[in-house]
Amino acid sequence: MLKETTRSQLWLSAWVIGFSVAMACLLLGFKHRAALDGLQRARLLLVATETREVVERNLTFGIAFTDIATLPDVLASTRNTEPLIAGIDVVDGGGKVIYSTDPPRRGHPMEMEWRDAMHHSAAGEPWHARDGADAVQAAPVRNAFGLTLGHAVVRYRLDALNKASAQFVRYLALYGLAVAAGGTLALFLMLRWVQARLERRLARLNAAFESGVAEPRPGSLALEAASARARVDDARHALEAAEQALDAAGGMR
Amino acid sequence: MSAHQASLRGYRLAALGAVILAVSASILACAALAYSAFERELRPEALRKAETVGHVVDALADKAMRFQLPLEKLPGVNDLFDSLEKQNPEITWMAIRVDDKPIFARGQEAHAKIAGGRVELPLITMGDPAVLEIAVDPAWVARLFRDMALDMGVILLVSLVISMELAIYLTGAGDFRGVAVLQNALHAAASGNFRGVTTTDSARGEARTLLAALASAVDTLAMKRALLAAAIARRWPRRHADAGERERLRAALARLRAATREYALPTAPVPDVGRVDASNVLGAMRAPFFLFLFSEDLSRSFLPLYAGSLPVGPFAIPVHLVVSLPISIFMLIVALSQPTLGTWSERVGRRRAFLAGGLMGAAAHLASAGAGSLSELLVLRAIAGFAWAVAFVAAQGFVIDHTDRATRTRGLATFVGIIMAASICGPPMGGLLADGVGPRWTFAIAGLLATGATLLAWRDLPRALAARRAVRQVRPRDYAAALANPRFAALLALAAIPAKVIVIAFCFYLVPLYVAESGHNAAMAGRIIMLYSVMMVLGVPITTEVVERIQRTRHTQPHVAFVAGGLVVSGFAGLLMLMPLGLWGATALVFLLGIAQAMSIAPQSAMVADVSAADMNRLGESAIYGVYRLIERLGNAMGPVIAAFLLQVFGFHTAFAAIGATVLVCGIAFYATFRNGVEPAADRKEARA
Repeated sequence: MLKETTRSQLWLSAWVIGFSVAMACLLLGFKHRAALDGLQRARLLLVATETREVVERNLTFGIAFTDIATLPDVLASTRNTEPLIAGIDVVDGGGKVIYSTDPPRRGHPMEMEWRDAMHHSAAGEPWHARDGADAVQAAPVRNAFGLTLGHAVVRYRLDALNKASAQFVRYLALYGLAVAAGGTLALFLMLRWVQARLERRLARLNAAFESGVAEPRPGSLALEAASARARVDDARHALEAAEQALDAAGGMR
Repeated sequence: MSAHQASLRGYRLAALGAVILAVSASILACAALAYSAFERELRPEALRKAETVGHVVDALADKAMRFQLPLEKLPGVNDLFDSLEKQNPEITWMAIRVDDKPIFARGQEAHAKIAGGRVELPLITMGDPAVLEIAVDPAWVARLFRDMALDMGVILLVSLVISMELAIYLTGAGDFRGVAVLQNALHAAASGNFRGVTTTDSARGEARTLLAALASAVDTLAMKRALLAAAIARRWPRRHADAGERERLRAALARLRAATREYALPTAPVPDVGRVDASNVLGAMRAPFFLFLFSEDLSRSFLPLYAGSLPVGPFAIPVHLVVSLPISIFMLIVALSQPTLGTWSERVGRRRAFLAGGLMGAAAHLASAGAGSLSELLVLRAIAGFAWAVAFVAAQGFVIDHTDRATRTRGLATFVGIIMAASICGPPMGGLLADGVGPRWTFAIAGLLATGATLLAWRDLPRALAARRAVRQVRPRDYAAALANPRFAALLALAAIPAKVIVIAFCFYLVPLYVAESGHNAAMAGRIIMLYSVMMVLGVPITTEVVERIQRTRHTQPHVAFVAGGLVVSGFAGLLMLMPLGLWGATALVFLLGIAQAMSIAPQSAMVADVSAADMNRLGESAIYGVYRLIERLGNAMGPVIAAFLLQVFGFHTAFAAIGATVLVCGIAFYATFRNGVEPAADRKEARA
């Protein structure tokens, strides 16, 4: 029966520690990815904002949004400053690519998921979207009247982020398992210790019940065990007295 | 707590301490391991970002060069540094140095002196060569971890609650249950009440030995008594033949009667309390019910936001109403379906009813993960609401089936405890998961948990239960009859409905949206909402204790003051949002709301019996409480719609304050209506008698 106690304590320790470690690792994994993602997005937002400022500066000089001749060179040189960038597009309000570091994209609409994200973004606010392993960070381009004419869109791959996250998850899973095993063992041993002390206390109670003698500490369980024994004996004596009364001559026939 | 109950309490606390210690140590160990990995991987990324920030400044220097402006005379550099530091909190030092002397600088220079913590970019200038220096806060990763401390605390708290549930599930209330049975058995035997001695199969080790010894001693007494009674019965017909025999029989019978009376000698062997007893009243239902509620509570912190992200379709519905609808539909279905489900669940059996609820809930959660539009989500939430009501009624029925008048209060308290435990765990865990894997995956996880609950119920719940007396179903005319009582109607209108409206409007609807609006994530919303359940769990027993003490010592019924006080505190909680406290205001609001509800919830339920004593005799207790629960739950359904309307028209602060002010007025009106006290049901019956 004690084996059953051991087994249930082991299961309890494993489940409780396993759950806490799993949740902690999950949280740390999310946080790691969120922090890395946040850093990358903030970095690329700076690039998008810089591009947006170049376009807006040209607009203030009266150059039409579609006629900024120097923009392709600026886009190409900006792209080269950041190894993370897959490409930079400047799109109009409908999502059609007007300028791009990849010439074949010009004149074509942007990917549908990104157009959806662009349309759902809060007016005048930067937006972000992802589609599988590709993602974009964008900043809206406004004219002097504050009207949104288009968006500076920085495209990048999520491969590096995914790889770093996966590596971190593997690391955490490995060490998390070790922590869970150690924690389970520690909790199990502590529970066993509490159990052993409880068993010793109960053994004393057992002895008090068997012998009917205990230190007279009021309210103590040992005293109750001894009292229980005394009451059992009293009841037995009362029944025996009844038997004797019946047996006075004829016995329990 | 009596001395004999308290004497072994230390071991229970020691076991709890061991769990807290081991869980905290494990979480800290994981955090420590992750910390070094964060430092290793995130710092280079932060430096790369600092480099990109540097390019922005470089562009400005480039501009100065083009306009042939000396760098030190370039305007707006300090403003630019300020704004860049604000936008990039990990950057704590920015400076442009010429000949190693800073001509522009912002932040803490000490951070620039830490090796590997800064980037340098040469700037093209008109004069001497200049260098842009940007340093990353060395404690940036530590700050990230400090931000996570709350989440870790939540994980610890949830782990503790779950470990309690696990302990009860794995060991049937644990070895401590065996000890508790032993304590009660010893107490009963020591006080000479041998019929009160029970035993349990779940006891182990010394507890089992001692219980066995005690049970054997009591069984021996029972056998001895039975043998003696049989002997007397055998010889009883001969009592007329012999005067001595008659005397002996009379003496033996008198002694047997005296012993039976004095020691409450049992007539049957010592009973086993089994898996389901008063100390573990939910028994086999406990784990599945907890898991089922937990799965439902997971979505609480992000449901409004998730609903808002779905396409509405051709319906032109205001956005705030859109996000309130899934909650309202859920609550409405729960309110409307519960009155009829009680008798149905009794007819088909609690097991089958719970299995049906569990399966429906699992399917609804899994389908919600793939909901493509608001209308789909609404249908699925309606199904989830129905499933919740079915499972709830089945679990409640299970408690009623396994308790009697003496143990029902304790049984229902355990039942409420499970609901509270799930509401402590669900929202923060759901928030964490939604932030990490997104709402859809969180719904999928909820679906899996509900499936787990169903499987547990299928495995553990008893297949058939003894038929019980059918509970009388509430009929429409009962509503009319009950509501014709103006005091009952006032209790509903001034206390029950406002209390529910404010809880659901604030905790389920306005707070999650407000937290999101303040720029925080679903995990934060979950943590704040959790406070409500924590305060309820801590507050309800205290309120009950205080109310009972006042009743005992002052011989008065303080229920009215407690209900009115709860409503007034709830109202003030809403008005608190008029102060510019931001997220702290929302936290204080939920905290106060928890205290307020803990103050009023139990006295309010107790008042139902008092204000409707006459109707209870006529219609029955269950009918009156059925009407009360239905109307109260309609308040649940109204809450989000009222809040949505106010939010759409007036904005957050006014919505909070308007609901708060209304509840405050209701509290005052309630006190004015009932200030002369409520005649307790028992007194009224006595007076009538």
